[in-house]
Amino acid sequence: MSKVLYSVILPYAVFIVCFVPILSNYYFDVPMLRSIDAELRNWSTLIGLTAMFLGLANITIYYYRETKRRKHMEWQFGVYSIILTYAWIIYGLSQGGLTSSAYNQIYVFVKGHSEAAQIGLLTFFFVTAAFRTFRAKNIQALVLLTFAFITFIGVAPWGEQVWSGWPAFSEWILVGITMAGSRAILIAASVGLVAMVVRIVLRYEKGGLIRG
Amino acid sequence: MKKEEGASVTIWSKALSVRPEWFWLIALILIIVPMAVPPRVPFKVNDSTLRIYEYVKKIPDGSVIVSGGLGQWAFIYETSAAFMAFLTQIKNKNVKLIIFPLSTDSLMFEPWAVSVTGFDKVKEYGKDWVVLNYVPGGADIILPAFMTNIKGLCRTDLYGTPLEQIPIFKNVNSYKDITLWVDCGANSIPSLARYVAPYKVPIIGFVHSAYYGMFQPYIAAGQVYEMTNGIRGGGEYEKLVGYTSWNLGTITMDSYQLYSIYILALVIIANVGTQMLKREEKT
Repeated sequence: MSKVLYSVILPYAVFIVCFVPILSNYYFDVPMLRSIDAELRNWSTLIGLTAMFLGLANITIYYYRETKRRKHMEWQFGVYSIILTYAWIIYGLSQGGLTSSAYNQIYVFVKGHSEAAQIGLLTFFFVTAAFRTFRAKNIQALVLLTFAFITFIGVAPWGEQVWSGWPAFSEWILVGITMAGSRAILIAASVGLVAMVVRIVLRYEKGGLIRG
Repeated sequence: MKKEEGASVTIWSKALSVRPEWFWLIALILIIVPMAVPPRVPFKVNDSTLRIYEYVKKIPDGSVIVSGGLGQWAFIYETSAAFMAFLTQIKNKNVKLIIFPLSTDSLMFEPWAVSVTGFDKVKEYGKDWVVLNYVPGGADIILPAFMTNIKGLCRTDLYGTPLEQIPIFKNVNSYKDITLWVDCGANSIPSLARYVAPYKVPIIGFVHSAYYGMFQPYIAAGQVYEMTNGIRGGGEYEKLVGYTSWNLGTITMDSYQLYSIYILALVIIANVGTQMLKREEKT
């Protein structure tokens, strides 16, 4: 009985208590619903904040275990990750947190630039892909390649030097043809989401709320 | 004749088996050289960018603009050119800017962009612009709360000053007081369309070019006013505002010019090579 209570009834009850006022508040303008909605959203912010500490505890425990076991070759990265995380926190707190310009500089020039460099590597992978994989092996691939290059060259300034209508044509593909596809995907995904929510509410969906 | 065909097979097969590092090196040179010696290639301004420029130009005095987006720093770089151009445009206008970061990266990026453009030099903090703290919980939770009660959600600014003590918040309480929402977070448009657009607050997005086509339905539906197209949009915006302190978009367009020609040449060579090899195999 207690297993059913904790794994089925309680999660579902919490879900319904949160779900009904928030959904109702979207459709009806009732002051009480509005205040419940605001309160629940505030709770959610607190949960988000707690989740951050939980995340920190989680990576610490995970990497500590990995380092202790030394089962995988990459255990050194675990040590590096833990040292970096705590060094970052301790330094940030000692410097006054987000308001400190030193902390901001480190964030921008270390974290920001590392991230950008990581994504920048795609530039070189794209070069390899252009030579190794962008092959017009059949008509479908040729059509895909053609459209990709119309938009690709449409952004480049030389495209409009070759043909003045190129940027407009490229824009038409993005705003017209691509939009039609994107709209279909968005609408289908939204309808699917509504169906999924209905399934969860009616408890047809196993997993998540219903464990075991 | 046969000897010639054999020779062409060798050339194509050799060409198709060149080590990728050589291609990367050429790409690196083609990217770096125009950055070092910018040729300032001319390019036209897109209608979308022009509409954004005109809209911002016509914003009445005393308007309150909220800059709030979520995104990773790596992607924000592509949209930063347009965002910096936007800051340059509003720098000399009598408007108020509230930075409301929806992610930890935005919290660091937006004040950085403000500082780089010199916005903070001509505007007074607290009176003309303010940075709010990052509130965890995700855009789905934060945005509805922000739109209905700003002071209820954010008690203090980034520096810990209560909002009641900040002059900018004297007359700013909810969506009713917001004139424009600007997104510099590359991919936050869906969240903004869901939680900001219903309050009839116009949204302008500086989006990543990969999302430009994908987010067009939001413009067609009237939820988003307009968007710039990645780094090209940034370059166009820079051109309209008379160039910014970094000219990130314009410089990148110079590199993109050569890079795109290079990519096109590689694709053509690879495809011709493949066809030639196929033909040789058949014969």
